Amino acid sequence: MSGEPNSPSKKSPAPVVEVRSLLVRYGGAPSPTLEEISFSVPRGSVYALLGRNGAGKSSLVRCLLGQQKATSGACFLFGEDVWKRRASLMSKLGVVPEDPDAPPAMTARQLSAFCAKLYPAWDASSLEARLARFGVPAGTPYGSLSKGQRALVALALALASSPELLVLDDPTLGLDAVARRAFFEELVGELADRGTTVLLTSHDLAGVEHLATHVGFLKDGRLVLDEELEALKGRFRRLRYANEQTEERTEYGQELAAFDAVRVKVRGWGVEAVVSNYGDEEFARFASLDGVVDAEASSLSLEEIFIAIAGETPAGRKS
Amino acid sequence: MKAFAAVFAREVAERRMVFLVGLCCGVPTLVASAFHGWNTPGNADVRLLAASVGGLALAVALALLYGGSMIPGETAEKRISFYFSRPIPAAAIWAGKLLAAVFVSFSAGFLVFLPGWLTGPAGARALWGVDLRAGQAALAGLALVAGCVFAAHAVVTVARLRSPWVALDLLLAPALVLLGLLAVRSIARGSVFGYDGMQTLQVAAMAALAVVGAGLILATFAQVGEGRTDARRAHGAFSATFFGFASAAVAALGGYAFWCASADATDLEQLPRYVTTAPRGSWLYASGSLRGWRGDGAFLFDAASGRSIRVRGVYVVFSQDGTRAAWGEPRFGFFEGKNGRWDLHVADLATGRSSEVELEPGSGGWMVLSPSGRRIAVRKFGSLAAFDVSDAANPKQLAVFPLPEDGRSLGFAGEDTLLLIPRYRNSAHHNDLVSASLEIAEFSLSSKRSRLAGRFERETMPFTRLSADGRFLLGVRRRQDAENTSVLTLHEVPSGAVVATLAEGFVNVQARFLTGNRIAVAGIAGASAKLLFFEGEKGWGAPSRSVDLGPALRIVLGGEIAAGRVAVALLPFEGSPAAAHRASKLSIVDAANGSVVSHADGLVPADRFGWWNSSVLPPAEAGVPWTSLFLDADGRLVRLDPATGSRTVLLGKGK
Repeated sequence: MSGEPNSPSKKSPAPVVEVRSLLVRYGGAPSPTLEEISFSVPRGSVYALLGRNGAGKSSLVRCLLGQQKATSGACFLFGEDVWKRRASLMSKLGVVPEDPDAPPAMTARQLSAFCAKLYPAWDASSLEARLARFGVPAGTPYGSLSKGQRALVALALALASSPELLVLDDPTLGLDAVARRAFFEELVGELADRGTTVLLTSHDLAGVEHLATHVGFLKDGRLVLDEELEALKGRFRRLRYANEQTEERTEYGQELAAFDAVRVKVRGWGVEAVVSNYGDEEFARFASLDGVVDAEASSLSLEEIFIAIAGETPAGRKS
Repeated sequence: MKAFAAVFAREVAERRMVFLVGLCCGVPTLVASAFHGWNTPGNADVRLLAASVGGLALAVALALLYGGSMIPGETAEKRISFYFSRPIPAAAIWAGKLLAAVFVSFSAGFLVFLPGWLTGPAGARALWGVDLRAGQAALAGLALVAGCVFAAHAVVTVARLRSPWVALDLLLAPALVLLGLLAVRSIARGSVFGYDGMQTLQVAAMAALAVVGAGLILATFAQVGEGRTDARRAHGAFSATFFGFASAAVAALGGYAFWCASADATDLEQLPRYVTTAPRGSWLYASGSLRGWRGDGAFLFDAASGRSIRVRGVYVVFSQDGTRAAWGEPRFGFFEGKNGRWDLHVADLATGRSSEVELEPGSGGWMVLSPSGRRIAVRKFGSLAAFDVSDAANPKQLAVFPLPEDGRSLGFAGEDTLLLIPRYRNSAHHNDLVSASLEIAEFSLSSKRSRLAGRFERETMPFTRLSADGRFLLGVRRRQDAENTSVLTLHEVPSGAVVATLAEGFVNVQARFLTGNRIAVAGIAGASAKLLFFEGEKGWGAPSRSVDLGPALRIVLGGEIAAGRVAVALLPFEGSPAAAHRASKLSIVDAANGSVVSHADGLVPADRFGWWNSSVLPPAEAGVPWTSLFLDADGRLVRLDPATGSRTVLLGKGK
């Protein structure tokens, strides 16, 4: 996982997804929607692309699916330029769009029959079984289903082709807790069975946290973070301590310089800080500093890390 | 192909109810017909007509609906991503959807039409007067439906995708239409004859439809292939492709129009129509085939300098001094908005410039220039008007005279006097015209008075020509005999009194005034060509010399190529003009001694129609340029040197 583009080489297999210097600019917009984005997704990983509304996630997904041409840069799937080879590459993909786009008049069964003509390994029986598990009627027109049911049908359609890559564009947006849970459970099952590579965007950080192996944060069109989730969570900590002024340290927070603090709050009882470069040895030295009293470090959830980095909740609420 | 079939089948299946609607719509026609009495006269025709109207209406309505919704509608509603996130090539999405729209619309319309057709009149093929076979009708219907699908697609793309490209659409669409019309107008105006212009418009309309159709096919393909789910980019790809293609087509048309319009007289390939020479000077009027589709063109051409002026009219008149020419040009109709009217053009042959004079003559043919070319008389229906065109840009009206009737020719006798003389008629049934048709009227431009100056003795309607000096009229009356011979008489001007009978019993009779107060008369008598010379000093009553030129069925009398020497071509047979021309023999006859010198074969005096076209004969002058101009058998205009017999090709590229 790297922020720099990796050229596909003969020795190492090409990453499933590779984005190189992607720039997307719309008409008269003053700044680009996506600015020089580069990242890659290795085979078997689950890459969660996070960002606020309008951060450019959907534009990035459309470019990744070959549905939209970037202003500059390129996207590669399985080492091939997706803009040029979209049709053939799509046979290896399962896609769940943000907005349901299947023809409203078609039933899930008709959609399955349509897709069966297009995919070489279409598994209609597994689709029917999934729909039965979800409790979604296969004979009801797509447009008559609830939003949650439409998302589940879309997931079932995406999985029925046994894809090598799943692209999920905020699939649980607007779903209730039950539908969201059913969606993620099915996804976890699929990953456990086949190890499919997944790229998903989501606002549901709690749901994503249990799935994702890698995380990318989009902020104002820039990829500000691109990392394995475990590493990310390993280097982010919340530190709490009481601080006594000494001759050497006359300001609060100065002692946190070694941890790359991203947020520092001074409270009545002391200091609370979120740091992005935590290490046990550094923490031991920190705790023994003159003036640092009762120092403790605790882990952060993905949502807490997101808030610390973005300064906002994923949905845009100021923290 | 599998992906295309899947998309096509899906789109058709989703709209399968429309077929049922089509069948249901066809039934009322039969039911209503049954109530009216199934076998009553004309009922079958009514059934067929109702079925046709109903079928067409449903097909067009569906085509507009589906054309507008299938691709641009789904793009605007962001549902087209369903196809693009699946292994379906863009071409399959494009073709599958649009062909499905055409198929469903056409089929539904056909189902409405089917019952009425099956029970309609046996063998009926004609609908609204258009005789179409079933296959042709089906193709025409299919083309109409496809056109509606693509047109609706284009309109909805512009209206719903809401991209800034709409500004370009609104700017370029009318601009290209205007430029295309200008180019077509230029091509159509280049034609001398109106029917060619009309054919050009018809072909242009078909070509425009083809260009728009091809442009829409390419543009919709680019829209789907390049725009995909991006509405702005889809619109951009559509507009750029369509207008790029249409602009290229308009540019090509404009280039073609420019290429056609920039032709000059030297580009004339053959001169099968008219060559009319100026009485003096080296200018002539020539028309013939020109480069370009059904191209023809007419020019004033200076044989001395090679300059030419494009003329968009058939009839050109020259002044007797050869300094001016005038002609009428029809207004084309669009832009000017005055279809069917004519503008008068006057050219100053000394400078080679022409100007448009806003006199609007009733037709292009009935006008005459004064001997100096400074005045022009135009006979419109019901009036005769004379203008001073010394300054062509500012014509001044000199006089207007009411005319009781049509059917007369004009001639200037000097600068101030106009003669209205009986007009050429060549069929016997004009004998019952009133006697007034044979009167000669004289108009004074200075006093603005007119008077009845003379009359012709009425036998049949005469064919008259005025001498350039206004002293004589030559009249030809056709006899009602088996050989269809004519009588040529010399008359005094303006009284019309007969001075002498110059020839009798001639067929194809012609005459020229020669220097030395002489007249040459040519004709065919008894399958033999005759040439008679008359001298005024010896009295006009009998020819001073008669020359028998040998067997011929037609004769063309040229001019006085050298003092006292007249060119004359003999054509051995009739019925095949080209072959007769090739087999013709040119002779130069000396009036003084009657000697005949034969020249190269296949040459005919260029001004062969001058005797028929102009109401005033050229002045008697020897060796002036027009007398040495001839048309060869390959349709080229050549100058013949009478002394050496050498010829120089001036116009035409030959066969």
